[in-house]
This record gives sequence, structure tokens and C-alpha cells, in this order.
Amino acid sequence: MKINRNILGTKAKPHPYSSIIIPGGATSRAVARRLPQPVALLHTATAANVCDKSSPTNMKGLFKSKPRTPVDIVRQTRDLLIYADRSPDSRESKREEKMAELCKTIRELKSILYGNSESEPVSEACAQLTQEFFRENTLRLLITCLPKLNLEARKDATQVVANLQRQQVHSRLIASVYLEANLDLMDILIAGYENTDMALHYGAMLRECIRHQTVARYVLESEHMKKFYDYIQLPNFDIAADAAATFKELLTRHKSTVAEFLSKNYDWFFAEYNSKLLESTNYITRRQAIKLLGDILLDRSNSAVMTRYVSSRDNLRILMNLLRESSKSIQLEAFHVFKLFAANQNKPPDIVSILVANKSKLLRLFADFKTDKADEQFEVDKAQVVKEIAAL
Amino acid sequence: MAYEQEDHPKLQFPLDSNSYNITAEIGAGVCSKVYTAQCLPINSTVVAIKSIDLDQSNANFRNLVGRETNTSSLLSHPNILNPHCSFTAGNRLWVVMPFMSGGSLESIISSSSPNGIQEQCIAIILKETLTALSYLHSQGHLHRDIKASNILLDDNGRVKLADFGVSSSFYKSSSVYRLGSSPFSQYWIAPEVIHSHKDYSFKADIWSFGVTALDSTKKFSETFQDMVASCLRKDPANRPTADELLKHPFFESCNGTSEFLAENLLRGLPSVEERFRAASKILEEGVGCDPNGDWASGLLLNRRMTSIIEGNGNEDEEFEVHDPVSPVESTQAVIPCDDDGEEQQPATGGRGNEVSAETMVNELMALMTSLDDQKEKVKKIINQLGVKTIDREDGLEKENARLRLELEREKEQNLKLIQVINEEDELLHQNERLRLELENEKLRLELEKLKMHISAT
Repeated sequence: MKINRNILGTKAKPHPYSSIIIPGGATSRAVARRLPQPVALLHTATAANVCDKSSPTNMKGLFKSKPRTPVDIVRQTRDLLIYADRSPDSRESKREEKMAELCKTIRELKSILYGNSESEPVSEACAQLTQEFFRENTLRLLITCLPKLNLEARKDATQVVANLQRQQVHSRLIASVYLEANLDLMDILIAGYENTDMALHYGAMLRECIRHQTVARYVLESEHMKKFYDYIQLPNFDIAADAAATFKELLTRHKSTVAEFLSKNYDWFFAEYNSKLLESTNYITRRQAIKLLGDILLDRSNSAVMTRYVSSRDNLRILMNLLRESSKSIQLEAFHVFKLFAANQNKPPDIVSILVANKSKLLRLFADFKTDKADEQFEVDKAQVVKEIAAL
Repeated sequence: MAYEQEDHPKLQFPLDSNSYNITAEIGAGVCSKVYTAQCLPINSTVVAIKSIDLDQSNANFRNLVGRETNTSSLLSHPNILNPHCSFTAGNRLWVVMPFMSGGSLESIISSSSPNGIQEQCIAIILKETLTALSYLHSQGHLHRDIKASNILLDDNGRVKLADFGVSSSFYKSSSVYRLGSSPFSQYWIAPEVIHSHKDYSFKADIWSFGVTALDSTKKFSETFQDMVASCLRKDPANRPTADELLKHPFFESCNGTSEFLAENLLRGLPSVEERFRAASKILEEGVGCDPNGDWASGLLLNRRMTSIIEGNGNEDEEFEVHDPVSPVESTQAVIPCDDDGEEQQPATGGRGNEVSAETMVNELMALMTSLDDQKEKVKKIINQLGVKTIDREDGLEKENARLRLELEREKEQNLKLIQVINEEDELLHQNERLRLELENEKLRLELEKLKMHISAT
């Protein structure tokens, strides 16, 4: 089985794109490998059987004939990207040809990483690909050249980048190491939300990159955070939804980083959050924002931030307005934040006075406040809130 | 695989509702409506607008808003309906799409002659749909809602697969749910697990495709039957992929064109708007609300599925009415086809077109025969419920309780069967289920009482 693995690791079957002409830049080794295509390689199992029983010399013969390695393909991609990046003035026909080739190699990378309809991905091949990819600046080239690719190649590239973030080589995420040294790439990706054509591709890449804690920290602490308040309200729903997903990811994924960010940036962050999101005229924005606020404040790691939030009368005013919304969904989400104000055992006097002033109205509101489905926890919370308010 | 549709520059459709003048309603769902409209700033171009109420359904909101990357706007295939744009208007999401004036396959079926649509037409439509599905799968997407009402035609007979409201992408976090693992272990899960071409989830779409095919025609050839049977194999691993299915003789031999469809299928049909009005009228008159009607159509389809599967020689395979790989469903709704040879009464009626009382009774009898199979399971359940004391009571009591449970189970099974087949009648079924739950609850209470009574005596 070990031999089989070796073969799989390099290439189990003739690659569907092995007929691609390798340009002059490719190594002669790769060209030599490409030439003969023994039939035995058509089926993985057959190839394995041949190997298991055959002498080392036969194995050598097999290796000679294998198609380009993942490393070769990464190198070829990089060469083509450098070309695409640099030479806008070369002959048009040659350029078209090279761009088509680039799209093909990106697809090849994708099929190594994800497998294709005939074969499953092989971890060794993935590891080799990943290592070569991050050994040099391929990711930067790919990101900057993305607008020059066609739609299918953009999607392939996005999937390749997404996949590479999760690839472990010797149980290390080398993508993380690379990104730490190239954090400015995030600037390009985030600015993508301002470009309708690129937004969804860059957005998807960005979300994969912020899986790495250091990358998420960089974005949180950058000036870009403020831009998200606008991005998530863009009129184009697809882009707005994508930005909202990234925003949520940033504020919920890495607990300790988020807690640190929120306590350091409390003032501006929540001022903007209240005025731009919770008081937005856009229904979707309000609904998403109140839900996310609940998620943030109810997270145990953010308890200091929560205590601070529920001590502010401005915040309480905004939450009480959301409780009065005609949308049942917003009301319910608002309740999950409002309950924190009521349950606070050290309510500041101005909070108490607002609650007292609105006591009867609130109790009336909660009297016929129900969820669609029976929700025990909700009923318990509601009873608790009613008790707290009634006792004031 | 790359189909470029960028031969003409993409028009920028306006992102506000005031730019559209709604002209007619052409479709309605539980939380959504579909209209035709004119896009005023673009020469009053006719468009279709799907307006989805996001406040009514949490699931809608999560699917559409929580979703990370919009699937449909990045897809590019001649058989996939790409929305022009989407934006929010109050608490509704507006999805602006090209208007497909030929209407949905569902509406075409219901307004065609009672003999159904000729197989040649069905073949073209299914082939185009399958091409779209193959592209979707190659892009790592599931459609998850393949049905006749999502297969649309324009007046030139071109076929497009629509509605990715529930489709989801493999490359997104939805795989957490799919893999059923904790978010933590999923976080850095090996990529080949997250996306695998051998993943059977793709086969759920093939199943739905098979059911859609079967439901779209009444008379069919042997190749058609063989094609559908392959989609409805119980084990998803045995179902063909979309690409493989395209190579099936049924599709290989199909070389019809969209012109053929326009000429032979669409010509003379009432307009989409008229079809919608006719359908709404039928609904209002309560035909759709007749539970027996439901039963009838569900059983009819089930019988046809059964007969097709048997025709294919898979007699010793269990036949699940639920899609076996659908992650949400339970696997309880199993109707054994031929498990204990003696009592199975397979669909005797063959593939008749009408549901007579007699065939329904036959069908019910067949279902009843599977009761014995369930007995063992029910016994286990009773034991699990800790009702051991009953065993010591006299046999009559025991038998009674068991039979009642079995009856409930049987009802539930049948209900699930209908559910799968008639997705459109979701609401109705919800009611049914609630009623069942109530009955279950009552039964449980009765059992409880019984237990108390026993312990008292």
C-alpha cells in the first residue's frame, strides 16, 4: 500500500489536462515526464497492482512517465500570473493564449485540491501544491490578477484560495504564516466590496483568510472596520449579504481577539453600531444587527463589554424602540438584548428610572409577547424580566 | 465547462422598487409571490420579480440573508436562470429575473391535454435541466429543490433551472450542518472531506430529478422507465451522477431542439398569467385541500415509483419513500418492497393513469402488509418506554396498545410519503403533522394512565 500512496501522491492517473502544451519556461523534466502515457495508469488499482508485484526498475519506468507534478503546475501558474501582471503591451494574440492557459492551470490546481469526477484529492499532492504555492508570492499575484481573469477562472481561483487556507503541511497551516507576513493583502480584499464585479470573489477569499486569528485581529484593528457599516447596507443585496457575513465572522469567530477589540474600541464601535445599524431605515440591517448584538453580548467572553453596554441609557432607549417594532422577528431579537438590561443586578439609577417610567407599558407588552413555537427558555427569561420590572 | 454569457454587455438593472411597474401576479408560495413587471428605466423591459417576505419565515431569512455568497449571481450556464439583481424593499427581498414567458414545467403539465405531454418534449426539457444540474454540481453546489415548478421555459422553448433560494454551496459553512460534526472539529477539517466528488449529497438532487421526471408524464417508454429507476435507487452510491445520467440512452437518443418545444409544446398554451389564475381558482375551490386528493396523488406516484423500481429488477431492495441521503429526514419511512416474500402485494394496478377507489384500497393493503415488519420496531419502542409492566398484564391490553402505536406509525409513514412527493402542499402537511403529534400525545397520555393504573393494581 505504501507504493500505491507514493504514486497517488504524485499523480494517480493521467491528468485530464495533461495534453496542455507546456510553454518554454517549464522545466525539461516536466516535459520529459509528459511524453509516454502507459495504459496501466488509467486505473489507479491496476497501477497499484503492477507496482506491488513489480521490480524497482519497473517502478522507475512508471515514474518517468507520470504527468506534471503539483509543484510543476504551481510554478507554471506563477509564471503565467507574472506574465499577466506585467505585460499589457505584448502581442494581443499571444496574450489571449497565455490567459487561456492561465485559466486552465488554475482549474488544474482546483482539481488537485478538490478532486474531480474521476478521482478524489490526494493529501500528499495537496501538501506539495500548498508548499510550493506559499514558497513564493503566488497568492499576491493571484489576488491582484483576479480582475483580469474570466468569471469561471475567478471562481476557480477563489476556491483554490479558500482551500489553501485549510491545508496543513506537517500539521502546520502554512497559509497562516504566509498571511502574517502579507497582511496588506487584506486591504485589497476588503476594498473589493466597492467593486461590484470583484466583491463576491474577494469577499469569499477574505472570509477564509480571517479564519486565521492573526489575520482577523489585523482586520479588526484596521481602519477597514468602519467601512463595513456601509458595505453591509449596499443596495446590491448579494454584496451586502456577503459583507454582513464577513462582519459577523469577524465579531464572533475568535473569542479572545473579539473581546479585546471590543473593550479597546468600545466607544466608537457601539456609537456607530447603534446609529448606523440598529437605527438604520433598512429592515434587513436592523434585523441582522440586533441578532448579532445579542450574539456578541451573550457570549461569555464578552461579559465585560456586556456589563458596560447595559449600563447606558442611550442603549436602553434604542432597544426599547426595537421592542416596539412591528416586525415580530425584530421584537424577539430585541428582547434577548433587553433582558440583559432588566436582569442587571447593578442597574444605574438612570436605567432604573427609565424602566420605572415605562413599567406599565412594558408589562403590557410582555403580557402578550409570544414566540411562534413553544420556547421554554424564552418563557423563563420573560418571566424573569417581568418579575424584575414589576419589582422596581 | 465554462459557458460564457457575456456576449452582450450586462445591463445594470436598478436596485430600487420604484423603478419597476408591476403588471400581473404569476405565482405564489407560502412566503413569496412572483410578478411580471416592467423595468421603467430600461425601456420597460419585461421582467419577473420574486418578492419574498423575510419577516414571515425565519428559515427564509437565514437561507437568504445568513447565506454567505449568493449562489446564483456567480453561476453562468445557458440552462440556469440568472437573476438580474436583488435588493430589499421593506421587509421583502426582491429578486429581479428575466421573464420566462413559457412558464414552469408544472404549469405546462397542468394546462396540457389530459394525456400528458409527449415523451419527446419531456426528454428535451429533462435533458436541459440535467445539463444545468451537472454544471451546478461541477461548481460544488446542490440545488436541493429540483421540481417541475422550478423548471422554466421561455417562449423560444429554451429551458432554465431556477430558484436557488434553498440551494447551498459546499464551500460554505453549511457543511457544518451536513457533516453533523461539532463546529470545532469542523473548523480545520480536511478539505477533501468538505468537498468530495464522491459525496452522496449530490445524489439527493438526482433523486429529486427522478421524481420530477416521473411526475411529468403519464405514459412512458422503457428507456424512460430505466432512466427514472436509476435515479430512484435506494442506495445513493448506486444512483448515477448528473454527468453519467446524461449518457443514459434516454438522453443520448434525445436530440430535440428548443424550436421543437416552442412548436410542439408551447404553441397554443394559455399565458403564464392565465395559467396562474386557473391554478389559483382550483385551489380556491378546495380541490387541493381535499386530503383524499392528496392521498390519491401521493399513492399514485408511489405506486408508479414502486412499479418502476420493480420493473428494474431491484426487487430485494428496500424502497424508501424518503430521499435516503437528505440530511434532515429521518429514515423511518421505509416501505419494504419484498422483504418477506409471502405478503408483499406490489402495485397490482401497473401504471394506470387513474386512481380508483379499488387501486387505492390495494395500495393501502400493500402498506398494511408492511405492518408486521414494523411490529418488531414498535415492540422495541414500547420496551424503551419502560412499559414492561404491560407485559405482565393480560394480552388484550398489550395488543391494544401496540396496535394503536402501530397504527400511528403507519399513519405517520403514509404522511411522510405524501410529504415527500407533494412538497407544494407543505402547509397542509404541517397541519396533519400537528394533528398527529396531538394524537401521539394523547396516546402517550393514555399509556401513562394505563401505567398508573397498572401500578395501582
